[in-house]
Amino acid sequence: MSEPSPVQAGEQALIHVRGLGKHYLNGPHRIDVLRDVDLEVYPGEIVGVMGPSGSGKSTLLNILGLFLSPSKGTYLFSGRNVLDLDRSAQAAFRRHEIGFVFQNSDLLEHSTVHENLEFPLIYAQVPRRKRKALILNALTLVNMGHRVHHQTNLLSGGERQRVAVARALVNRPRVVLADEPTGHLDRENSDVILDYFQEIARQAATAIVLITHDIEVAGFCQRTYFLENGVLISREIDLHP
Amino acid sequence: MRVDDLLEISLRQVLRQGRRNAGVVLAIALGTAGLIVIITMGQDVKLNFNRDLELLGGATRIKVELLGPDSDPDVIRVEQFHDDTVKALRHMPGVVDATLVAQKAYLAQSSRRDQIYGFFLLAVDEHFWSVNSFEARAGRLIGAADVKNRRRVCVLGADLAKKIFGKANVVGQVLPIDEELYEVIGILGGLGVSDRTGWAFLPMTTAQDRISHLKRPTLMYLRCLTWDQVNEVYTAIPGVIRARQSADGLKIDVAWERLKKVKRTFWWVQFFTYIAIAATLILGGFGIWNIMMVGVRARTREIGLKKAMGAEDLDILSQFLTEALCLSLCSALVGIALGRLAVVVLAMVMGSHPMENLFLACAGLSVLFALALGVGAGLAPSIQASRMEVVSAVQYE
Repeated sequence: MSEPSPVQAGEQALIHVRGLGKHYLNGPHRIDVLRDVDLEVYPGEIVGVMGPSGSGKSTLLNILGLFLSPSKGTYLFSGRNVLDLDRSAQAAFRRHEIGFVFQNSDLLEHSTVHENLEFPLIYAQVPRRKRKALILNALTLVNMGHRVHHQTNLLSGGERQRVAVARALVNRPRVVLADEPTGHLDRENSDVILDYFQEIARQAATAIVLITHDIEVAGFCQRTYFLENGVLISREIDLHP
Repeated sequence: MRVDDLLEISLRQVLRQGRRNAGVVLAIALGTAGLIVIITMGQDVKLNFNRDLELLGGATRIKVELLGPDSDPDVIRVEQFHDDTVKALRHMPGVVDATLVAQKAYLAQSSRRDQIYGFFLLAVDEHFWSVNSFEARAGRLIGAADVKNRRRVCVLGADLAKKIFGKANVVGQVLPIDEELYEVIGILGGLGVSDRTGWAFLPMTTAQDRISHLKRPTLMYLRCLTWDQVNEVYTAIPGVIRARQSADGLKIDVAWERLKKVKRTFWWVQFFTYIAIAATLILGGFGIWNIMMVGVRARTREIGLKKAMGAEDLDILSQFLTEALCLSLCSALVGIALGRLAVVVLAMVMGSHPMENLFLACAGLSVLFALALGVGAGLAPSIQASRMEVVSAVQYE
């Protein structure tokens, strides 16, 4: 199932993480969630991060999305240190570079599909006249163009997740961070979503970092990391020995 | 975020939460409408109330008298009110009308069917009636033309008419007074008429020509616009008179005690009304605050999601604050519409003409107040929303 990695020699990594660590203090006890994580993600590749619950997968994703600050280490995005950004610059980084897909889709309730996809464009101050086309393009990518004016709470689980993917893509980010995007979906719908990811990665050279604990989902990724107790124990694992 | 997007998003949110916001909108709208009605109609209500004060003894009426060197009514005094003094007093700021009167020193006499009747007689001008809130129960009252043309007409108190003619409505009858014949043109009525029902009234000029022992016109009554002007007018009267004539023996009477009581009563009525309105508006403000606080908690995941989509703290703060402002402004607009309706209906019922400028000023004031209310009630929840961390917000259950 894995396709050849699109990484070419000399190409600059979009995400370049070195020695990343994150710990919390629980009274006198220090809890290390991530320890010395090194990670590189290149344009157009799908990178999977696997691991059991509590292994630090979501923490890693939150750090990559600048939701959390690491306790140590460096994080370069397209060669630029993004850990020193202030709150406003972090928001701008998320607006322009990152798209998020969460496990339970997390669409804005009692809103239409259009409204959900419009918010990232509003925050990016995209002119109104351009928004409709961008929204339709993103929805068409996930075969949801016909649902543009539907209420989100009337969509099925698979449709909601496809809308969430479209929302993550509407601003044409360079990286999509997906936290167990198929966790609540059946196999058929999971495959649909993963096919979309592959299509997006190939067409737009969008890098996708995908958190999962499902080995079949990991099979869609070009490279898969495995996290255990905060340590990235293997850069690549062989899913098909 | 662009302003048009901000307004659209916020207004949409407020409308979608319409049912939950209805109570707050109603509270603020009623408070605003009440405020508009009280301020806009207040002046008219006060004027009507002042007019009706005759029932309480004429608290806004000032009696101005030139007593002369002694108080013997038989003495013909040298000093009386000059025409220009009367005119100046009538046009003083705060004075709505003034009248000059002269009383016959002794009882006037009339005879009918061999019966002789004695009664008080007062020479009046055309302003006498409005200053005293008198009306014609039948016929008409003495007017400017009667005074100017020295007509031989009279107005009778109802009791006097009944006493002489055996019935109250005697308009058109002829009555001899001190051996001169006068046509009865009206019967006196009105709020403060009780102590004048046995009196007869002649035009000032006619009485001066024909009635013997008529005192010189040394007595004036001034009617102030409202009680607020009474003290000001009272203080200014001596100066106005002295600028035109001697004010020797000047005596000015005001029903201070009555005035004080009426003012105090009205102050308390006004105070409690304003308290009620303020309470309604504060309640509305707390309502907005509560809605926003509950909204921030209920929409925690939404806030996290929006931040994940790239919203800055300021975007979130602006959105919640604008929602609070939309809510308060919508409430104020409903209140202004209700207030307008109430003012129009009240004006029709009271037959008054409230000042349009005052209404517009109130409407403007209401909008400003609504803005302040929206900011005051919405700022804290908006700041709380804007400071949320993405991770905790997105994971909020």
